Amino acid sequence: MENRINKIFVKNFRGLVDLELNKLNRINVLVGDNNSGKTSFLECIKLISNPNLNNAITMCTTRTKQLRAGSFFTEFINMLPKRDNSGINISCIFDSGNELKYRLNGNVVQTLINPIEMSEYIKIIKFDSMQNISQFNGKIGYDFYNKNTQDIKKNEQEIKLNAFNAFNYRSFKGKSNLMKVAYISPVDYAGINRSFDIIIKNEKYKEIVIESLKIFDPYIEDILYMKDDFGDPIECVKNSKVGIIPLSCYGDGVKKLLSVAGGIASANNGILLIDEFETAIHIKNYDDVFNFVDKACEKFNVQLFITTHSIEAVDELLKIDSLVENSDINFITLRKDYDLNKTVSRTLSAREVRENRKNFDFEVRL
Amino acid sequence: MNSLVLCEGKTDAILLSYVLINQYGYKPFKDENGDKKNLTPIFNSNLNEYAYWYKNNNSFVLICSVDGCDNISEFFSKYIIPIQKNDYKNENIFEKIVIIRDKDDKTNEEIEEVILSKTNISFLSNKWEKVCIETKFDNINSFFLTYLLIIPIEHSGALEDVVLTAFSEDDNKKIIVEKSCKFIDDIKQDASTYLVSRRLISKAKLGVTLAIMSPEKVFHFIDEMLKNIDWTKYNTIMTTFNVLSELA
Amino acid sequence: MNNFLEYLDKNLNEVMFDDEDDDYTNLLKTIATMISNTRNENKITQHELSEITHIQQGTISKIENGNCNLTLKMLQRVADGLGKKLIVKFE
Repeated sequence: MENRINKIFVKNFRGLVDLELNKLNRINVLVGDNNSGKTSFLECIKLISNPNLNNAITMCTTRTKQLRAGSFFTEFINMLPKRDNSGINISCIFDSGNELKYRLNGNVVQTLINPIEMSEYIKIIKFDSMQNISQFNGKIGYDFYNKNTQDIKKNEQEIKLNAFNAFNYRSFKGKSNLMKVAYISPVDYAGINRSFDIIIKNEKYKEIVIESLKIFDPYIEDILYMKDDFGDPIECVKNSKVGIIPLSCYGDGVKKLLSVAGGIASANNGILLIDEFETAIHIKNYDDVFNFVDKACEKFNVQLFITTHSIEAVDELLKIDSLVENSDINFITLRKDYDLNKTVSRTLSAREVRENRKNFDFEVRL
Repeated sequence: MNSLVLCEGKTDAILLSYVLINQYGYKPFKDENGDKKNLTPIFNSNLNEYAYWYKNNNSFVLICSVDGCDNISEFFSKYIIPIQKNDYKNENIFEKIVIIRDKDDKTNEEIEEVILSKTNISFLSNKWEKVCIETKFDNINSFFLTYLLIIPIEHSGALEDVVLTAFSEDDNKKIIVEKSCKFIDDIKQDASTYLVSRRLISKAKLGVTLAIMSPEKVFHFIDEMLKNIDWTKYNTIMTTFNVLSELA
Repeated sequence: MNNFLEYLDKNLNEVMFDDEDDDYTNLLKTIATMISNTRNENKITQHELSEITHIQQGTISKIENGNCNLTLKMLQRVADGLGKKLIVKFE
């Protein structure tokens, strides 16, 4: 399995066009105006980590969890560039020297489906005539070039996707996992995925996470599951002043840290993506929280991509001397240039950003 | 449009700002919204470093003084090169950069050489030049204009000489200038421990002239005295700094 | 803050992760899809399923994303709510 991306070229994905990043580091901080493509970039990495149709369909709904979503089909179509039929095209080179080229393209046509097939899709309705529906006909595939053996593994899957069969594809079978990638969205911490579970299972890690939670509440002593009256497990926190209370009683800071800690664990020897790193974290805690994230990612060999809007968060990162001295962190500014019709980027080392901020209050985010 | 005018000392900067304001309609600009913060050097409280913005419609001029010729190298590598390389969009870079240098005893070519070696950017004397630079945004190239103003334009000397020449346009002041200069020329042998360089001799000449013209202010800093003179009356000043009209 | 850094440096070294978790994750996700597909085929909303099973809708959502530490009891209730029989098979 690959565990670190060295270079990435996003020819086409959502709003990203011709984005080329050649200097990726252990920690990459993406900054940029609203709508510059930061979240899309993180999604790219998640998309190519598991280059099959199942993952593509799962990916397309990551943004619509809180909104009323169109069907999977509509969301899937929305992921493809609207300008032309070129489809999604992403390639990257890993630290190992291996290369991956990912493509997804096709077009939407009107198709007639016979009633028997329709009934397979929606079992509880009896169809008696041909149905005219929109269908996406295309291909998804990837080429994987192995530097050692010098051979190229090609894989291609045909797609015939419509609103009715879309969730059949949404299975998690197919272990073509090229990389372990964990993604934490700005609103994820409210649900914290399986982070709680992952942390509790590892006694030593749990100890460290609890110590880190004390950043937010020095009286936190333990995290555990309690059973409710139905026998269902509830995530709880043991507080030396208040006793055992549900995690839901705590503010978003604690939930966020748990979410991130779980993310680091599931992304060990892989890649962790944190969108809007500073959300729910008070500025005075940035340094402690980030030190935890940095040390844990370093120890567990996790490549980190984070996005942020906050210049205070950037300045806090720049205060961590070890990171700046070791050149472990890059700041990447994304910008949509409508004249050039591409997404341009500027990669600076932490040292450069620190010097520029000191010398002329450099606005690294734009 | 953002322009940078780089001069050698606070005195020069004050004179330049005077010309900008009174001749070309600029007003001092206080950057309250932080629009120009990306372009404003932050100095470490060195009293001889000076950075102030002036605005006229859409033209923004930053007058910066960097004390001494040696510091110009550091000034460029610390502030100007990163600024020019960090972006290709006009609103985030200096579209025009003017350097003002005293001629002293050098030739124009010699000064151009020195500036080039210290900044790695080509500045031609009394002429605009287009410079191309590779930015950090996907190595996209961006362009800006440079201009090297060497003063006095005609003869050798420095800013002080320009001021003295300006005063000489006025018949009343001309005699004072002549006699003050003669006084210094006569005494410079005896005062050789103080007036060690040609530059200091020029400063002394101007100092004596101003001491006579405004004796009650003789103990104030020279800038105060300069501020109270109506420079628009002096043709020399206006012609010498004509380049400032080309910043808009 | 320095104490915290030292604490991290010293204690992170003692943590080891094993990857058998992946199989469990995959199992959860397979079950998740099964539940989601069945529910959609039968045109039942998460809200309705929540009311039948007395499991919070948020939890149902987490289950269907493979993000919930599912107990056997919960699984049974979901199956009942969908009008299905739960069968476990070793292969």
